[in-house]
Amino acid sequence: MADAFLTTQRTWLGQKLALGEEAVSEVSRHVMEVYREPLRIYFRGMAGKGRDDADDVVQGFFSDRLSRPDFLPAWQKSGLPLRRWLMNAFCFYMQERRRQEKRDRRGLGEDGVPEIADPSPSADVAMDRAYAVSLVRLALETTRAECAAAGLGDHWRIFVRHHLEGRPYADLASALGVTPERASIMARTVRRRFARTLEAFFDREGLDPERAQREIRSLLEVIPW
Amino acid sequence: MVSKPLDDEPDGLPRLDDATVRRFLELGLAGPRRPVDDLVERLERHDGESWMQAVLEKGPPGLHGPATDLLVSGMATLEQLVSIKEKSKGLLRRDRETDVRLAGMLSYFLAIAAALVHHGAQISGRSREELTPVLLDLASATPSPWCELLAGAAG
Repeated sequence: MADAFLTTQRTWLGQKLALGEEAVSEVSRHVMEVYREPLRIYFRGMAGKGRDDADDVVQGFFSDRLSRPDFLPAWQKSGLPLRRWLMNAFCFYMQERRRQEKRDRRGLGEDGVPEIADPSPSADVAMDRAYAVSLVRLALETTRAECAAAGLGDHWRIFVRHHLEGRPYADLASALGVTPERASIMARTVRRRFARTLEAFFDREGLDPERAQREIRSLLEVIPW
Repeated sequence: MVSKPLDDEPDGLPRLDDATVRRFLELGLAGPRRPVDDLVERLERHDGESWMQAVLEKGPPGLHGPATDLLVSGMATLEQLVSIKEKSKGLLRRDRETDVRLAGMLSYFLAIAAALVHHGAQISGRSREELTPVLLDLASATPSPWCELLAGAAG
């Protein structure tokens, strides 16, 4: 018993040391920022979701799970990608929610709470796609803010207009009074910052650069051409 | 040239459709990490510009005189550039202190760029296919006039 207690203590301390309060808080913010919309979409793909409002359900999920001190350390120990961990946890949360509703309605003498079915494969794919969109959007927003702070506003505008709007460097260069070659170099500066931001997001999810590259490739497979 | 802002900046990001998301995810795909990536990251640190300035003020290895005159204005002869490149390479091999090693790498690529721009000579054993992205990455991380020198060398 004493050994078991010590093991638990060591594990708990180990988790605290590995993750730290500040890191837990940072990962929680990251989870809410990145996964709010993907989980809303995942929820919509669930059979038996009833009339629940997607925003309320996802917010309830975050409030419930992220307030549990062992939730994120347990994810770390699981070895699962954060996305998969959250999808599993979300399914459990929905089942718990349904059980609670049944208990509440029985108390009121009512029936008819639909069962939550396992999400279909298409719901999984929709979640992955929504995750990719969310990640790209947040990485773009972060890069834009960093460029503004670093005085690279023109660099950002060239990058976004070239890569997002498909405008040629020659057009953008003339508007800024630089050569097309310089415009292309300016975009390259931001492109590298954007790639580093993406890498930092994956790092928050426990993926080293090599695994992050594999993750990008797997996300590309679920985005239609 | 006089810079003027692009004044039609959108307030928010446009809708991200599948093709756009795909394109941006692909921008996150990196090839194998190269030694020059360490130099690019050093140059992009908050003190990167002052660090580069300090490296250049010391002058390229084995040669005295302002680096701007020698490398940007084209005053260095081809033989001098080859000498800078070789001495920089030696520095790169021998010295394990990161900043010194990176300073050697910077001088190495600046000498190669100057040889290409001012003498039309390729003094590196690297292929153009290998060299061009390296020079472009360095150009995108350096201030003027080095940016223009490196970009010009990249062609």
